[in-house]
Amino acid sequence: MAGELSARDIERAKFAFSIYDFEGGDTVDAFYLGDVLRALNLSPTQKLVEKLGGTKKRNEKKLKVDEFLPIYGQAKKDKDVGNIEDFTEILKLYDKSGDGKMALAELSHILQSLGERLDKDEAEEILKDCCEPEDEDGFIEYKPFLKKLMAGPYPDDA
Amino acid sequence: MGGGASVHKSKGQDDSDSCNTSQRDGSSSQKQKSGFRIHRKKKQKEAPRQSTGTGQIRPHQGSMGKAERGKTISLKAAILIQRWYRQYLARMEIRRRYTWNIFQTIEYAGEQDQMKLYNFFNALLTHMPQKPGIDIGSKDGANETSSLDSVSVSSGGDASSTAAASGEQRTGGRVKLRKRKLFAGNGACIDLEDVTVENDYKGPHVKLPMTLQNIQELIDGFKKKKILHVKYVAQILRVAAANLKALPNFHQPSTSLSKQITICGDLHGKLDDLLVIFYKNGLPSPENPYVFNGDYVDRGKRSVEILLVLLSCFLLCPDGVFLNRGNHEDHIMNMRYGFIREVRLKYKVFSGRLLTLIDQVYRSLPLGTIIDGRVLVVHGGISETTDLKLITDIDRQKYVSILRPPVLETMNSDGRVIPLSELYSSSHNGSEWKQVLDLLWSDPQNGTGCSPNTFRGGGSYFGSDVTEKVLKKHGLQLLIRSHECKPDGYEFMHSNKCLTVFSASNYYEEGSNKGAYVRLLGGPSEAVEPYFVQFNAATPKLRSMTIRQRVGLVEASALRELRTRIRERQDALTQAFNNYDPDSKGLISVSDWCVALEESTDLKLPWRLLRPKLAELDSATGLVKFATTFQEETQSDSEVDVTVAEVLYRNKSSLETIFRIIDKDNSGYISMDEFAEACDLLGKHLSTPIPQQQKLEMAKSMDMNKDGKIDLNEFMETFRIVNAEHEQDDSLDYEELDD
Repeated sequence: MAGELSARDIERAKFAFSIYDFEGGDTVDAFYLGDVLRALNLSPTQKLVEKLGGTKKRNEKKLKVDEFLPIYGQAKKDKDVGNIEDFTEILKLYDKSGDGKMALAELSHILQSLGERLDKDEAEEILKDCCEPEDEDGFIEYKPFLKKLMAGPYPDDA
Repeated sequence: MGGGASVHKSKGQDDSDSCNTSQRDGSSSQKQKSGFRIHRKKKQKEAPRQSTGTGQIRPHQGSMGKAERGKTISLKAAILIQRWYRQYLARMEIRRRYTWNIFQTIEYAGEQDQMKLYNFFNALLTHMPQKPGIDIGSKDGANETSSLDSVSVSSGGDASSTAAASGEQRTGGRVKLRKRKLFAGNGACIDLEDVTVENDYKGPHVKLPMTLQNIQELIDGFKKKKILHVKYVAQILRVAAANLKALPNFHQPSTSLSKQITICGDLHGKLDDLLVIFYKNGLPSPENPYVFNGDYVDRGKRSVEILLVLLSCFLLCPDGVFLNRGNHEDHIMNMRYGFIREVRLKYKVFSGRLLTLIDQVYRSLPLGTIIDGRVLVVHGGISETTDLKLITDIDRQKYVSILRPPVLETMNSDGRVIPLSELYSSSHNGSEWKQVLDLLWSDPQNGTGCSPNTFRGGGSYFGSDVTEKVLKKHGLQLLIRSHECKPDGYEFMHSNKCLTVFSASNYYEEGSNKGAYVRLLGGPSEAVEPYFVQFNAATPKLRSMTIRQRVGLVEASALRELRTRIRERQDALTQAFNNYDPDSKGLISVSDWCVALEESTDLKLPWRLLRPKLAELDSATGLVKFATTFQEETQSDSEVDVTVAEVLYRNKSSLETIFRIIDKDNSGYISMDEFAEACDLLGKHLSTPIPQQQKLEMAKSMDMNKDGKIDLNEFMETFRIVNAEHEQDDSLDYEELDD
């Protein structure tokens, strides 16, 4: 499976791996598996990370680079990443008036209560970073929000 | 109170071996690192209310289909967004981490450079073989063999007759009337403490013995950016040095009365951080004792103020203030890292003598603290040979600088320079010196074992087994040290037996890290219980930024530092590039580019990933246009040949060091000849000789008032002005003493 990764992929994977190799022993704590994969521009669910070998606590398992690369290859295959149309469709449900806006509080609530929940600080951070400030009715435009989110934190970069 | 502060208290110990800012599934957030990660158990919530009015999920309603679908889609939406968000966070996190690596790598390489540089020039400038009868046993440790060691000559007012003399020689409009009065007549110079305080002096006054009110006045004055009058500075330094001298090498406080004690790490001239600490934790007193673990000066711009406040607190309350020496309490480090510059800027003609007094303080500072006989607090760390009993018996006054042995041995009989490591084993003095070096320069490492700290150039790396062994050998339970910046202000290692505490927030850049201090609660009969307080002496601007913006800011700063270092090595780098480009196309492969950079800068960084930020590709071939690596050329305003000015500018930290070495009496002036000598030495160091003619022209243009002397500060200022927007600004917004 590592054979499906290009040389460039492998190099980037090794770099990300090395950043999380805190002990200098060429191993990464499986607790950080999700972080490493996401740093490589994948967006696995927490469930998938667990399935691939991620742990919920530190110091339970360590991964070596040769173990990691196949996991990376596997995670890359997960095509169900959603595109902006999917997102938009979904959030339209909350758009009462059809004007491209939804209640900020509602979005915040969704993120904190459904699915693989974010906690309050995380929800606040993401909304602060990706949303325009809410208007006087507490509404925000969700399309720009989604665009910004999907562009990632440093869109000017390779 | 300077700056805002947000304080987060957290308790307990945390067994993590690493830079630990992640939680739960590993996605990071702004949450403070705390001993217990409280997993909030969210109640199982129902699907959010559909604003279309389909309402709550009720199994028996006719609209169930719609509600179900709504619920599923919401779930899907939530998961998708959450996944993307976690990716977003992880990408920021990895950038934050490798930015951190960049800063740290550059910082320690700089320290290593400094040591190498110093030894190299020390060797070259020491013309004479050692004079016999080097008196290391003398009270002052006065060591007159080296022409460089004038700072160890006696303390107090008469050390700088040379400064007075050069003051006299200065003619022309530059000398202010007031100063002439000082050096009038027969050229005898007045003791700094006898300098009259002018009527229009608006700063704080000091009357010893120190009182709490006086300290308050000092702090208030410093908050208003006042500069303390040199008379008072000299007083405080002199008395503090005398009092410190009487202390043993290790403070041995007991918490039996106070039932608690606070330990602070590196402050590095960040007065705001100290003020935050005092604000939150109170001023020192016998009931509220403090240990300050070194590195009070350098890097930050208010090192003088911090030193004065801490020494004043010590004078007020010697039973409540325990000051340890750090590796930056050392004039060799101060040459490069800004303290000498700061003293010069603030105290001008008096700086020479003040620096001599400060050196006395440094030598008198104890080397560590042992609390209740069970907690060891030292600035750097330990090594496998650390023997506290041996260290207790050392005469620490001998060590004017920790980086130089008490006996000068940098050149052997055939003129060969002996590198530091060889000096370790040579004599008894060598091994004693190693003990002291290890205490102030070592770093803990993951894993086991002990090896020389090549990263920094001094001290050792010590593993968990060393900590275990040394603690056990001396009946100790915990080692607290500083010396390394940590993102959360503190970090445990070695199964919680080694604690790093670092109190300078935003050390590398605004937003780079929090500061922290640790309180040990309970008296000697209770278990050691650390309690951490983190803080951020941040500006309002910083607090309103998002994580992404802050990471971006820190990263930009790291890249600037990196570019500076690249420019320092421009000649070697250009040569390496040309080697890979035999046909002179100006293009080389990315791999070659990376190799060239790593070899020339001596920094182990992910060059391939940094390349997009540092050099451009040629779109046609995909090769690197290596000339673009140096794109931020400086524009020199001077009439002097641009090349020479550039070389000098690029190497200004080395140059500054060389200058200060030559400027033995810290007068701030060197002669033309000495300047030429400095350029020569720099040329040797860089293997790039600077042409004679251009050197002289440069020197001439630097000599503003044509008196045959070059003012070092003006020289450095010239380059600062030239590239002002890239500089950490040496803001001169202080009240000038002599205007």
